[in-house]
Amino acid sequence: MTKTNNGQKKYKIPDYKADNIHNDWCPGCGDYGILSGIQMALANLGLPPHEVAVISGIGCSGKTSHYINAYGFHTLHGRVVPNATGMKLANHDLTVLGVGGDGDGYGIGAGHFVAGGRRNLDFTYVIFNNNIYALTKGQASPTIGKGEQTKTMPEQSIYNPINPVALAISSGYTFVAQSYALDVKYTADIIARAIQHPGSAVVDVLQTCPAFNNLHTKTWFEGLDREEKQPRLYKLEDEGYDGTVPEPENPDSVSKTKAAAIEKALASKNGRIPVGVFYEHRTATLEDYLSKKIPALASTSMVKMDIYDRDISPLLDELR
Amino acid sequence: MTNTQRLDLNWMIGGAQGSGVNSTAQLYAKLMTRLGYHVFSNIEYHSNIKGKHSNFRVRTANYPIRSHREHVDVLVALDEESLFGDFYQRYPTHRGHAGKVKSGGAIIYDSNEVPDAQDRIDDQEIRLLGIPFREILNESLEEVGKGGEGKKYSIMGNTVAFGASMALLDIPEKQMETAVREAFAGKKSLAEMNEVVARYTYNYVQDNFGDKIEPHFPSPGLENQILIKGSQAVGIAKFKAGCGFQSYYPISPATDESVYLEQHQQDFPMQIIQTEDEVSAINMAVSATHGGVRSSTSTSGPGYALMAEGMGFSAITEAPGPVVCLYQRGGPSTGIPTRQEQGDLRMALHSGQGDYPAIVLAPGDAEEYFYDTHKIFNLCDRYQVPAVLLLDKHIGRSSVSIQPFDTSDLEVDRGPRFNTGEHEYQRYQFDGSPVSPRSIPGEEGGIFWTSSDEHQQDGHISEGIGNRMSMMHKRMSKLKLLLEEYPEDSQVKVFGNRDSDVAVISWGSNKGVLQDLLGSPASENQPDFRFIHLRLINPFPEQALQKALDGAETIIVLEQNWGAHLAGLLQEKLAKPVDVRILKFDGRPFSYDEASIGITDAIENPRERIVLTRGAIRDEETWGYEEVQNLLDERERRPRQRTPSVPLPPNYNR
Ligand SMILES: Cc1ncc(C[n+]2csc(CCOP(=O)(O)OP(=O)(O)O)c2C)c(N)n1
Ligand code: SF4
Repeated sequence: MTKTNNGQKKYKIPDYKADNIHNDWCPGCGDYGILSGIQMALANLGLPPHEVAVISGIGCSGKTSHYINAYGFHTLHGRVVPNATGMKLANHDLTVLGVGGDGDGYGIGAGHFVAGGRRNLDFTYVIFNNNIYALTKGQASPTIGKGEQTKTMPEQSIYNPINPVALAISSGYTFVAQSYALDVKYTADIIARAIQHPGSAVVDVLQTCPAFNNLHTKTWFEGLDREEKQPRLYKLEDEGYDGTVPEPENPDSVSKTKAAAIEKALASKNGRIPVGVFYEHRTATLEDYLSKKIPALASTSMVKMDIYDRDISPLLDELR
Repeated sequence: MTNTQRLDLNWMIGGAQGSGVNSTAQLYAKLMTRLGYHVFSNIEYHSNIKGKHSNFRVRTANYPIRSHREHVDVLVALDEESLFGDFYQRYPTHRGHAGKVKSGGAIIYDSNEVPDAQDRIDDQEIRLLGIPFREILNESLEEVGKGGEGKKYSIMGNTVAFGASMALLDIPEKQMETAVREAFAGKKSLAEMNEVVARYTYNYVQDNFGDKIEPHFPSPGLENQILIKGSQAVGIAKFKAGCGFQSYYPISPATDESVYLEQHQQDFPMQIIQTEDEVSAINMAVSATHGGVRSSTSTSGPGYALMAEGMGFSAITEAPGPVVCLYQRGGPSTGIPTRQEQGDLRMALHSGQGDYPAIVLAPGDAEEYFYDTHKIFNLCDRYQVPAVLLLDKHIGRSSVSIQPFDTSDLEVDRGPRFNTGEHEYQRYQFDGSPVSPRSIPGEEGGIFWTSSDEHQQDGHISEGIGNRMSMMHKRMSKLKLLLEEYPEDSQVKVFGNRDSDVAVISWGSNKGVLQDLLGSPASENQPDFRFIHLRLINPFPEQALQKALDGAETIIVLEQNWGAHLAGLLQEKLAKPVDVRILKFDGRPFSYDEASIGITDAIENPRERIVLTRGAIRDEETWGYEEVQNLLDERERRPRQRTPSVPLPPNYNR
């Protein structure tokens, strides 16, 4: 089920911008880049705004749903995945986009994050990864490295960081990518691909937080702090990497591709960080499975079903 | 018990979990329902899968009944423990059920298992039917060419028990055979074998215990009855109400309902999703309701504790639901997971942070489980709030015979909806009513934003003072509106003598036992009181309750918890003091006899607290220890008996 606008109305980026709302992110925040990336992706795909639902968590990143012109649900801290799931299952025809912070998704919401991968629901989860709990003023998030200390952390982090890409792949997400907030065009392209992917898609977006994260700054990502002045980021495709599972129905092919993707995610080549699509596997979604179990779902979404005048007499007869 | 006029029969089957106690009892209850009796049955079991003791009571009568009795008329014991207790445990938990059998009653037991039963039962008037289960199986299986394979088919011991019960009670053989055949419908060879075993046992009892057989007692001949559990009544109502989404995380005793729903989800389209935890369950359900689908989730105390934040989220975003079915069980914490308690009233009322509106209903029997579940979906849509149905293990798992539900007056009301013609749609518009029309994601022109943060009319965050005041007022006045629109006779119901000086107030599943006390021929010395059943808990039906209490001098509250939760709530809401609290928190529901003793005593000797357990008023501070000590002493007195048929690991005790 590839999502595109069926040709009627053309939508442009401004159509996805919410009017009359003041954006209260700090100047220079990486969140702006991700927001633009999302809006650009929606415009590229031409999705009618009223057919899109944006579910966000709590944090600076959680405010994103307010800034997009689409049905917007700013939910609870860590609960993006369950809320996105409920929304999508109510209406399989909606495009459901989850957005939230790394603390939100990989910290308090980690259990849901894993479960979200297992289900392979058709939705896209964009994670704003700034290594920081920003809205609570700069505590360590699960992606900050052991021994790292930002200006707002009283002590070095004493935990090992998680690797979002490896975690997502092992949890079962069928599309896993990473991008960089300040490369808006690239982020938009990846998000568009993620939305088009039928199944659970994760895009971990490396993000700067000028207010609190003085380690992973624009300068740092661009490698301007290094002698050779080479960017820390490199694109997987530039090195000829393709994470698509070649034989989607063959378990061997799936696990081989997964292993290769996880290796890419974990490999540290002189501190270089890969961005791009690590893994892509086209396989049956939760909705496919449910439609098999509940025949009525194959032709229409739950929200469109007639619920008036249901006859329960067969159920009562069973109890006689 | 040779009296043909006998109108009330308490049958009980006990045995190790996994030995067929449930299926035999269900079969028995079903047959009695079909024969036209009033049936009420309830189960007690350990939080264990195989091996520990469970028992199932089935009471049948020819007048309406909705409670169980302390005594047993016919005991079917599948093992020694069911007769004499679990003396092999380090701390025995029960002393068996032989002592509960009434003089003149009967015990059906396996004489291979308990050869010395006769010597150990004091009451000579009890009719003992010692049946050699293994031999019966061996011999009856001859008919199907499996003679001597009794050991292999020992699980069919429960069919022996069933056949023996049928013969003892003089139920026509044909009826018994039909019941067995239908119970195994779809498994032809099993059906045949079981039928043969039941018939053989039936004849065996006739031949060997002819003098002990009780004449068939008259049935009122009720037609068209169904046998239903509370959890099924809720499930059927969900289908009828058009609920399209149920999320759940497994927990006793709530899971029964989701399992039932799952079995029928294809016919009444409903997506049943097992989640990673209860936090997820509530959040999914909230979002599904925003998505336009009626949604629910079912859980028990520990799960609901995790749902608190999600309830607030639903309330602040004015979601139309979800419906949370809270099947109470014994707490605190994991508590006694398979036992009864009404300990979650306060949690249901105060589970989230801040003030938020949520409807709380407490239906009291299978019919109310059905009608209130259906109604509560309409209320959620109508007022755009979450709701809790306070249910419990007792009704959830008890099977009762009832007339099928009358659905002719049931309607689906989806509440105020946004109309596409409107421009400048604002989801939380102030327009006089606290409930604003809602749009559903996917609808053109209906885009809205919402937030778990305080928000303004367009759904965007605002912490402004004026906005905050108005939004709090908007949300909180929904329940006031509901109370105005809610029929008074559904808020509280009065039974018995409306003019009595004594008012007994109770909630939820105590309805049956109190109704029985008021209405049944069994209660000859029935105390005179009015029984007020509180069915709507939030918003609190102050006016209706005041009316129901008019002229009452003594107020007694009866409930199944330690803290007298309802009594406390009444003290908070009403000017009248509560005189007596009748409480039970041993993990079992009130029996008819206990309620009777408690209320009679409360009227004669009013005092702050009356605590009941094991059929009597007890001193709550010492009685528990005393009872354990008595059991230990009794074990000392008796020589060690046979090892249990289902071996337990050494020192196994949970
Ligand atoms: C249950 C709960 N616990 C804690 C908080 C407080 N809180 C608000 S924002 C936040 C951190 C958000 O961090 P992250 O998800 O990384 O998002 P960011 O602000 O960095 O975009 C926390 C812990 C909360 N709102 N709810
Ligand atoms: S605190 Fe950081 S993440 Fe939050 S808005 Fe400011 S720069 Fe952005």
